Amino acid sequence: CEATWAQIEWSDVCCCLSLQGYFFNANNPYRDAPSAFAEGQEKAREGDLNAAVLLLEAAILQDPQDSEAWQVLGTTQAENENEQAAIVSLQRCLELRPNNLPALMALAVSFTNSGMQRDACDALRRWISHNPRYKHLAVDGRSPSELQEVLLLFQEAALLNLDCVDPDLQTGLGVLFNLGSDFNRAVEAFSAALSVRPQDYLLWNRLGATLANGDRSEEAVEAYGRALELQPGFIRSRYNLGISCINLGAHREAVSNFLTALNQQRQSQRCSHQQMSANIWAALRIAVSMLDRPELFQAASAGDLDLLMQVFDVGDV
Amino acid sequence: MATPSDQNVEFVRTGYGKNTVKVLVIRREGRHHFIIELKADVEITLKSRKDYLTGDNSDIIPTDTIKNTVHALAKLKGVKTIEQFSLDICLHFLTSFNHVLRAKVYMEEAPWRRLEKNGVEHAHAFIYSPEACRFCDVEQNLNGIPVVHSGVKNMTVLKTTQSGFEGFHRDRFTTLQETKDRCFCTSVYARWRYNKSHDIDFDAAWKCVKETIIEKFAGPYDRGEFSPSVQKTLYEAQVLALDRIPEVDEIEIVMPNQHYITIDMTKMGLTNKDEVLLALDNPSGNITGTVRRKQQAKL
Repeated sequence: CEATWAQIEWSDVCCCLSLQGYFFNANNPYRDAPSAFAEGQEKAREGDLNAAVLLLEAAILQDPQDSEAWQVLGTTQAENENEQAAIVSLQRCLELRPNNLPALMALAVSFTNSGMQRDACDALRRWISHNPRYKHLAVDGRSPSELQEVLLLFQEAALLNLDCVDPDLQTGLGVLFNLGSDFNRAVEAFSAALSVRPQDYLLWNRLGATLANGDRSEEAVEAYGRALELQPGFIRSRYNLGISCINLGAHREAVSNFLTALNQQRQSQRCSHQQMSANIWAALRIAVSMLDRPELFQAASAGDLDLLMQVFDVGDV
Repeated sequence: MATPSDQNVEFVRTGYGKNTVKVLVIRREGRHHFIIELKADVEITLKSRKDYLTGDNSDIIPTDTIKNTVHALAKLKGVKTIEQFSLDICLHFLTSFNHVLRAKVYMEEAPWRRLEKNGVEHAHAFIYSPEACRFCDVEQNLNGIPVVHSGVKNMTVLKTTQSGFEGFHRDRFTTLQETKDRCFCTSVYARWRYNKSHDIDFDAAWKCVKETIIEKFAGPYDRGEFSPSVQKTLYEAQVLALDRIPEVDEIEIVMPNQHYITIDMTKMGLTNKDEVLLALDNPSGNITGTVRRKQQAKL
């Protein structure tokens, strides 16, 4: 195990542990916990995302070659609205296990959210080429993936499913249509996936985000509502809900939602300087700026969560 | 001991530090030397205000120490980009002490350009080339995520045609004549914010924004691109910059309009066809705009 420990650097200027771009929480109380991975998965299922992250990080520190731990850490960080951490984790997973389909799909989604179209298409192409059901469709030695090419590939694959719906394939289609700004078709794809998996809160959020980006904000709010009913700790969906509130002019509701999300992130463990999502703070600042209360904007800029929670009457969940 | 006037006063904000800390960092790879010269303003805010209130200095990290810290970190961490170095400085002050609340760094890079002739680079000689000034600022609160801005300033460009100004609002105080063809000279200031602090190629991003602004200003090299106003050109540069760099969330550009006026030579019996112009020192127009990426919902 010495070779892998050498890669984990302990910076002598500050106390940060990092491994090829993933920055671990410094004072992890679960550091030496046995069965950290199993517990991490359980916490993620319960919606306690911050605790899940800490447990999964512990599992990885105990065994940096655990590709499944990297995968779950990646998807959990995405749910926790920490896209960069998600991308790095999923990439580490795929280095260890290049054919991990859930990791490839999750990575494509994260790249899409980050505006990295080419990388998203590449991940989706790899998803097809490693998928036992569809890999015969992928031509080897293809040049860098173009959106239209990969879309065609997924549509060909969909034709193979005449009497059933493959929700994962439909998710890929939904992502591709999002990349091409064809929001109506993306909505159809995610709806098809939901018909097979109506309890999948990730799918409800993806449907909502697609509706929102296609300017159908009211319908988006409904979809996010379904996601949050199924998983109240789903930080990303609550962030999205806040964004839609801004778009609908409901600025107070937007602020409320962002504060709830930030508080949920903070509550779990107060030991890291990276717990709360930068995105959510940025969105909160925007929502607060629209309320025309300069003293609150000052509090938002300084990161004073307690004061804002008091003013907007956001209690502990 | 509280004096009566203390009761009528409360703190809005405090901070102190060292300005204009200048260093030149040399990296030697055999005979080939790399340099970066920078100028830094560093400010920290402490948890306690007792230094201001009672003259108790026990918490103060002297500004001399702050200066030494910049020097030492340049040696310990090296300086790859001013943005990364600024991040390193902020992180140091927030994690090496338990009484620092906030750290802010503003940094400028000296525009040294390696000497080159006929495609051959000099190993260790440079010339000062101030065609644009590169700067950045990083701010980070304790338990918070650093916010990084980069910028370019004092980039002065001029074009002699493909600029006009018509159809503006007129009132009794308006004397400006409409024009379809004028000189357009400006000294660009642009500052943009990134949406993360890790994994960004700061050099590439800065180069891209600088080139995008010049591209929108100048247009194609053979015929240029018409500018109906400074506002339009400014906005187009912003939209293109955001499009090209997904890591940038928001960009502010300020373009003064440095006026050149055709000199009326009729009293000298000469017809000056916009050939000899007077550079107006003051006043100058000042056009500003800030745009940000629309909030996208996350799949």
